[in-house]
Amino acid sequence: MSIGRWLRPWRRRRILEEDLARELQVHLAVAAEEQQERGLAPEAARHAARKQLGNITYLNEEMREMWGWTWLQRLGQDARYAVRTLRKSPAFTIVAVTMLALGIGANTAIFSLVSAVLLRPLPFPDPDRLMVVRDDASAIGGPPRTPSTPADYAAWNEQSRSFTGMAAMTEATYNLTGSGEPQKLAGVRTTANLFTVLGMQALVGRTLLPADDQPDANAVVVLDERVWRSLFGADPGVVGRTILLNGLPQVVVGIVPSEFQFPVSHAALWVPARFTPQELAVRSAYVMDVVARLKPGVDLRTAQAEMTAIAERLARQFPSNKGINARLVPLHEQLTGDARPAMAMLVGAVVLVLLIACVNVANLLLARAASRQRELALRKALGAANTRVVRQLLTESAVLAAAGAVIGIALSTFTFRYLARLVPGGLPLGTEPALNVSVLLFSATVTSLVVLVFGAGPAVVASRVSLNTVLKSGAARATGGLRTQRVRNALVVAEISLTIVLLVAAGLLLRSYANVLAVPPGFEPSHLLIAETVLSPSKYGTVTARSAFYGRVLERVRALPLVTGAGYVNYPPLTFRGGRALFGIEGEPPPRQENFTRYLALDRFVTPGYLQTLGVPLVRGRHLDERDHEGAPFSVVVNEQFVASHWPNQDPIGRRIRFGANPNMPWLTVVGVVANVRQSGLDAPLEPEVYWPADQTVVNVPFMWPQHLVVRTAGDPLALSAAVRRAVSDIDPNQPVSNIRSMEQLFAADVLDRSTQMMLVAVFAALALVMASVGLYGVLSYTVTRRLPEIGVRMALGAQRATVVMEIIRGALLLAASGIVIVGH
Amino acid sequence: MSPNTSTDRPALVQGTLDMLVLRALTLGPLHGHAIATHIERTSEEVLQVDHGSLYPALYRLQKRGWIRAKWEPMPDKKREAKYYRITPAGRRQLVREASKWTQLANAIARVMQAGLKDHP
Repeated sequence: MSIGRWLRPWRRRRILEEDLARELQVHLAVAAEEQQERGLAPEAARHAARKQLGNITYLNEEMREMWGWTWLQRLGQDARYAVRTLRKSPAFTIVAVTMLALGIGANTAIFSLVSAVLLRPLPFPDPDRLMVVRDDASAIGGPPRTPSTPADYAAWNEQSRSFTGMAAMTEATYNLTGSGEPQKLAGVRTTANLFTVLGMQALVGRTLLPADDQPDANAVVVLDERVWRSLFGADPGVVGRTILLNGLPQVVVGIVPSEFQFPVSHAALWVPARFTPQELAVRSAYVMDVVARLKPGVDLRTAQAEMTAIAERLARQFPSNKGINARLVPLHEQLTGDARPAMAMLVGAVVLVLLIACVNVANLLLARAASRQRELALRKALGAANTRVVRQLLTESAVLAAAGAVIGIALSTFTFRYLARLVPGGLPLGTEPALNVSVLLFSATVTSLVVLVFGAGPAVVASRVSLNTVLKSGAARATGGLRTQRVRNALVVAEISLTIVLLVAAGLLLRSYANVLAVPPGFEPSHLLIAETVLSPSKYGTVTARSAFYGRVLERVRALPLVTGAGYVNYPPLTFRGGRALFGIEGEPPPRQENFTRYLALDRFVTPGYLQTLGVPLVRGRHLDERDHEGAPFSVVVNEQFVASHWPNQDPIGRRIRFGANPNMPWLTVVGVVANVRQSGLDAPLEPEVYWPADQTVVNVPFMWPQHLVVRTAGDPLALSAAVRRAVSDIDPNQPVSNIRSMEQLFAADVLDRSTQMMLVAVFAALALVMASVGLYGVLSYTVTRRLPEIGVRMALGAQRATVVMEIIRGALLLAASGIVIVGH
Repeated sequence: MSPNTSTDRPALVQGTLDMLVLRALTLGPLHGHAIATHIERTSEEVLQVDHGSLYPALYRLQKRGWIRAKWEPMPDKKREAKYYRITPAGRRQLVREASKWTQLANAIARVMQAGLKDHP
């Protein structure tokens, strides 16, 4: 039915056409007979009848117009005509289409990224009801959204009534052994209700159940689809099989689809957290990712009010909770928040590129219109209406834009793979840019806007040709009045201004990039090798066991040729942006609401030799060494920033600090001061830092265990990889060594987001520069061509070559300078 | 060549063709050519109908519902032609048009007569 309905107008039209033709035939026959009766010969009679009827083509045209079908026919006609004319000037067409393709393609690519990251809904049912719960220390000048303390999670989970469930998780690394090469996998220790809260079903087998979270339940694990495919060949029989994680047997109970990447996009497995009461009592470490689902009928405000009430209750109960609110953040916002500024910048850059492309094509069209004035004037002389000419020219623009769009969209698909790198911290939740309906709709809209922007002006200008001047004067002189020339100059100036905006943006990014690279990291980054040895809690759960392991490995590694130092740390610089704790200062009251953030410091757990290996200069006192063993008086080393914030102009050696706000914690004596290290990244601000001896723990939790081996060598650090692996496996054959990197690689990765964004904006700026040059060239060469007779006469009368050249260059410089001045203001 | 092609013959006043067609059709159904020749003959060859503009006019009148068209055999029975008939609405329209026309023609005539009297 729908097809019939679509065809009805066409059918009706055919009937009308045939009817008219037949009617005219009868008319002519009758008229001819009548002429014959008047005595004309048959041939002459037919001729007279035809003459009497007039122009049949014109009549047909008039009838068609009345039937209301001409626009479609004209569109086709115009499009065919446009293609023909464009093919006649291939240089113009290629330049215009290329510029539009680049503009539209760049916009399509960036929009596909924006739509994938910001607009696509999360792959969970009712994603709007999912909230991340964070600690908010903004009231006391701290971060507004940090992962929560385990104790806060425990309290929220117990006291809140607004949620169907609240899950908490921490990231952890697992060594998969017993099936081929030991593998290091990013894992998540989560409460078993995570999957229920998010509403995620297993692909094979099952997800975690509340029973799995009981301390005495069987050890189980849920694997990610990608791990299942790459390590287990997508064998469904893996479910039910036992694998070794950190040396402990765990039963695989299910596989979850790969779009379930929570809370981080590289999560490979999920194990029940089985948080111990001891763990859930920790109030000083901000390590828990908490996600909750709002109950039906409960809105964000109600839930937030409840959470605030709970937080206030906690603040009255515990000093360390003073000024800390519990903040609900919609999950989507939390996942995409970091990406927004970068996206805004990229969108700004591509829109500028598109504008420049439009301006440029508009300029080319104006020049073309000027040289086509005779053609247009002739068409008007033959009866074409003004609107008809405008429509013809707009159709030409549309054909150009359509060609540009097709090529641009095709080009943009090649960029999808690289786009993911533009988002700081990677794309959340497996969102990959792809060509979909919304992206195509966007491109179509952009293309139509483009036609209007660059096509309308030139079309109107061109249609205003004056028949008299054009047809009377010769072609050479009839090429656009002063006004057109001014418009073209203005367009070039605008184009140069836009280009300069982009160039300046690229320059600023480059400078901030250079600034970041110039930041002294606080240590000597070259010739350093980093290897991760994730220790299994079953084997290395005690300080004694770990201490023996560190001692033997370090002894072995230090004996390797070219090695000048080695040490262990829980997180080397640039590997982890968190790891802060509260430290009370002897002689000061415990941390209070007003000055809470003053007591936050990055804490790192190190073996003797670590700071020396890193090359952190010792400022006062001594480094940590073998004296600081288990059972010895607690010693710590702090950095200069710590001293500056707590004991300015005083001798810090011998001062004492305390972990957390708990008065039962032992005092730690400061034995040395070292230079500041940018632990959290080169662009991070300076922070107070505390280094603990690995052998002296007050809280025994795995993320405080040194698991990164740092080695300094006189040669190429990566050349040491094999020797380091061997050294570790000689000590413990089941201990995997993973993630071997040089510190220089970490540096490059740290500034990668910045450098890719900078590169991209620089590419856009270069593109704009080329386009602006083409635009300027177009205007100049056009002006020169127009002035050729004049220049010829002047040269003949004795003008110097140099004078003429200078005059033209001056014109160009004037245009460029105007563009620069406009930006400058 | 027809002797009637001289340029001093008045062109059809704009908008009167519709009225003349309707008038012609009050005599009975006619096809396009017959309408044109009827107007020319009854005006004693003074009014010249542009045959080409006749068909758009016929289409317009049909659209407004003032005339109807139908393919019917011609008197010689050998061919069919498209015959137009006036509708009751068309007749009413013709009355309106005719009275307007009479008023206009009388007014113009009076103006012209007055001019002659003032300047003998």
